Amino acid sequence: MGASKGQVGWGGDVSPELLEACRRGDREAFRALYEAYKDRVYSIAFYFFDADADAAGEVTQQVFLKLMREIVRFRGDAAFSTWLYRIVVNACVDRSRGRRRDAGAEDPVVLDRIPTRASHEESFAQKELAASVQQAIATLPAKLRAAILLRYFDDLSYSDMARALNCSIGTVASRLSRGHRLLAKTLAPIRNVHQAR
Amino acid sequence: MFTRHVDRSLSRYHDGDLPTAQRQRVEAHLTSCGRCRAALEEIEFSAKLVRQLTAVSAPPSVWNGIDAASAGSHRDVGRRFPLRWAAACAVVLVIVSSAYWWTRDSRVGPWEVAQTRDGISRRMTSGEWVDTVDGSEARIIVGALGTVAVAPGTRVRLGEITQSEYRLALAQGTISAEIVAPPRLFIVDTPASTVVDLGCAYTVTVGEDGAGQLRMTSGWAALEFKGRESLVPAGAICRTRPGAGPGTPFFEDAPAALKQAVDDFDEGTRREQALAVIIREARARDTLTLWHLLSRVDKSDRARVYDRIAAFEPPPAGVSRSQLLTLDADALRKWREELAWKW
Amino acid sequence: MSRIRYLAGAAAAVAVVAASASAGTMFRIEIGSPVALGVNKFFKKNDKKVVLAVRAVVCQDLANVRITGTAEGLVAGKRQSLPIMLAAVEPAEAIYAIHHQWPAEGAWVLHLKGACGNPRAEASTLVAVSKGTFIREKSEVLREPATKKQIEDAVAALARSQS
Repeated sequence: MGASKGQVGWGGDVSPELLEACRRGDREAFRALYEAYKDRVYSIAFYFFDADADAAGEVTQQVFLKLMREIVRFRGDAAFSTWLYRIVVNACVDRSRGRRRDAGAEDPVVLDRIPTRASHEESFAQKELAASVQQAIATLPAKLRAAILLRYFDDLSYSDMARALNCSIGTVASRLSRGHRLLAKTLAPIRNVHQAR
Repeated sequence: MFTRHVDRSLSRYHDGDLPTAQRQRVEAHLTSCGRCRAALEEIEFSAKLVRQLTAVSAPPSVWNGIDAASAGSHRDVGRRFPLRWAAACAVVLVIVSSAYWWTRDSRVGPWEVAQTRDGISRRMTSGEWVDTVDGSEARIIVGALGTVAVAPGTRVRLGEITQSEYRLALAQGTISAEIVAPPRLFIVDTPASTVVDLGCAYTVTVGEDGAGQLRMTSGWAALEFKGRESLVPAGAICRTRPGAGPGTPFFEDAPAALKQAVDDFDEGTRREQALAVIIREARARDTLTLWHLLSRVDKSDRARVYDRIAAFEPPPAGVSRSQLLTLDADALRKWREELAWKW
Repeated sequence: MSRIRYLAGAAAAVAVVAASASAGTMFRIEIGSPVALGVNKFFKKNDKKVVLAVRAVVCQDLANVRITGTAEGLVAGKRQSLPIMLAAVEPAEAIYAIHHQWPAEGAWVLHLKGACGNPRAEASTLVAVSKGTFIREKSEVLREPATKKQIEDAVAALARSQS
């Protein structure tokens, strides 16, 4: 974890042959690229927009259309995934600017269903917990939300995140710290229940 | 004296991303600063919770949209449309349009069921039963997640559908599922276990006595019952027994003697002899079976099972024999991930 | 004439040294169940569509191992070859995941190849796949690059076993 992916010319997790095929306009190659990344992109958008499947679908579509258009210009001088995630983050943050929720307000998340069921229904309790976390994430300011989701949906190193977010490593660290601390405060009511496990 | 807090570095510290000298400075500061220690605990708590989130699969409609929107731009690139793609495209369009038809209708009602008895596709609601005891077959469309084929002689109850799960309850008979949902979204309850879908395709069978079998054809699934869990990867089978829950999984291509011995062991028949046979007959791949047995054999037998597994694959660095013999959960998980390279 | 013979001999010697250096190492591309990527780890590592886990082993410089692959298939008697993508799981450890990227029809063998910088070595693994899983007993882990004949034989054998 945290390994540097900065090898020039090596797209990290995409073979040069596949990228070249995509640049040539090979549709099957692009489909392979889509299949490999679609769920990650969709999930980031899904949780960014508080489980809004329509928004997630639209953002995902937008990202891959942009990719398709601009892949001819990708020269492999940065990791492919870094470039992809920059497109994803920009798409999410841009779309969120029109939404009232992202005025920077931190809506209080009402956690009226603390998972306290008996342990043999732990999978159900876990789902409730996940729903609470999902809601809490959606209340974060957009830039902090993007940093958190990027970190946990692809294990990106801090340096890769800095490239994807177009900021310094220090800024990435600061956003993650602030994001986590806001989440911790929002989810404080379930902290005791969770730590008992 | 002015103390410089380290809260800006705590996230990197938590993620192990700090250079050594900086990490040591943070650690030294934490020993004497309650404020930063509290901040670190918040980060640890939050990170642990965020890891609970599971991936969500992009539905087929997303690719449809890209395909449709990019048809013009592909020509703009000025490339010749590869002939190879033209043939595949027709296939994809057929599949996509079929899926679209199903998903379009399934948005109106929760479950869509087609049965060969009358050939009519109809919507059914949670709580209703799909019954093929009369020799017919049925197909259940699980929203946009996939399909479940219901074999003749089966009774399956349509369960609840929520944002976070789809449930079926198989009382008897056989169903075959091909699911494209995120992990843990599609669940099948049987009298003896709950099948939590972590993978793509499998067959579940339940007999009249409530005993059953899960056969994985791709991906993997977890069978759970009262805290007992069996992880079943593609190519493996796991039997279930009422009251006992999931049995010990084994690969379909395992030696016949080993498969019989697993059944004997799980049924409590001559367990000592059964264990001896499993240990003797096991190949590297059968460490799947042996790994599950670690937590199911008597404590006095655990070392024998450990030694057999270790002969195929020693525990990874940082995992000790004593941790495994005391069934340390983290140690077991790490060893399982290493052993899975042989499964 | 003697100079040409000398050069030919030297070239042959270099070829032998190169071949033996590769064959003498244990560098190889291993395959495993997706469970190897961690069932309960976050997202990427429990992606449902992963068909197999792939990793390079016995190399001092794992972070720079490049593993690439093609899907070699026989569909209705017609030979096909498709590039496949390996998704990085832990690139520093040369661990990757392969999602289902080939058609459901026909017989398909994945040809994975990788190169290690230290010791210098190349290796291939031929993986027979069927729908959403791989067939271990029909797969071969080689400690040198696969030859065209090996690839063709693997595809033909799989197609025969499925007919």
